[in-house]
Amino acid sequence: MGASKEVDFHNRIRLLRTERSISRKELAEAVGVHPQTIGYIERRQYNLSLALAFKLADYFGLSLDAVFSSQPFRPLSDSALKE
Amino acid sequence: MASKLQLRIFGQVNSPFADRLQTRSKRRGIVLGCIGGAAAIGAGIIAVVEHAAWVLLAAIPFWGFAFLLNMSLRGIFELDDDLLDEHQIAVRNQSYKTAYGYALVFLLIVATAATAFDFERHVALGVAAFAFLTGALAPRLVAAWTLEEPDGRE
Repeated sequence: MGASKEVDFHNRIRLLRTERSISRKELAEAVGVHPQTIGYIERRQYNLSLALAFKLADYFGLSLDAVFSSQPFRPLSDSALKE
Repeated sequence: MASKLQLRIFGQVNSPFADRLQTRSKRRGIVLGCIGGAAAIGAGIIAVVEHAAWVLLAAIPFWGFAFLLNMSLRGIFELDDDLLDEHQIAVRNQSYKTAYGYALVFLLIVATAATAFDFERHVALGVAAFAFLTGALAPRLVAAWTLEEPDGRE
């Protein structure tokens, strides 16, 4: 189904949630969606709106491009090794 | 502003019971149950058209499965937009679009068969009942069959 096929952009939501020990339910309540919708976004099965993307970025206190990207994000270990 | 009825449905479809129905395999089982229930009603009309009570009896499992179907879909076809999130609205809209195509093909097949085989009146009634019931549920059946595994519980 179009609403749930894999989308073209990538996100760091699961990583950010894990890093900050936030459950899907907590994040969903904060941005006003169902927890399953967070799961679909994390697994790139739903093409979310720009408004929701901003809400998510705002929740984490990050810019949009720190949370979403058209290219796959580089693993964090890459930058850690360079430092 | 959501009505009391809408809020009641919202509470029902977000209950732990509804949560347990929201895996892909259970949704698909419910879809098959609904189609089987509709077929039972159609067959009931064909086989025992003179005993209307049997047809009503055949309707009970169908309505049961239709209830479970709504629960497994988090009420996305019953609730107003302000009680749904954007993903739920997108799934509902896409399901209507897809179901429209399937329903047209299905009705074309039924109409062609009815014409080609010159159904007797009670057979035509049974087939029409099956076509109506599955057509009425088509968007829900499509959504329940195609929705990805939620895996959203923690």
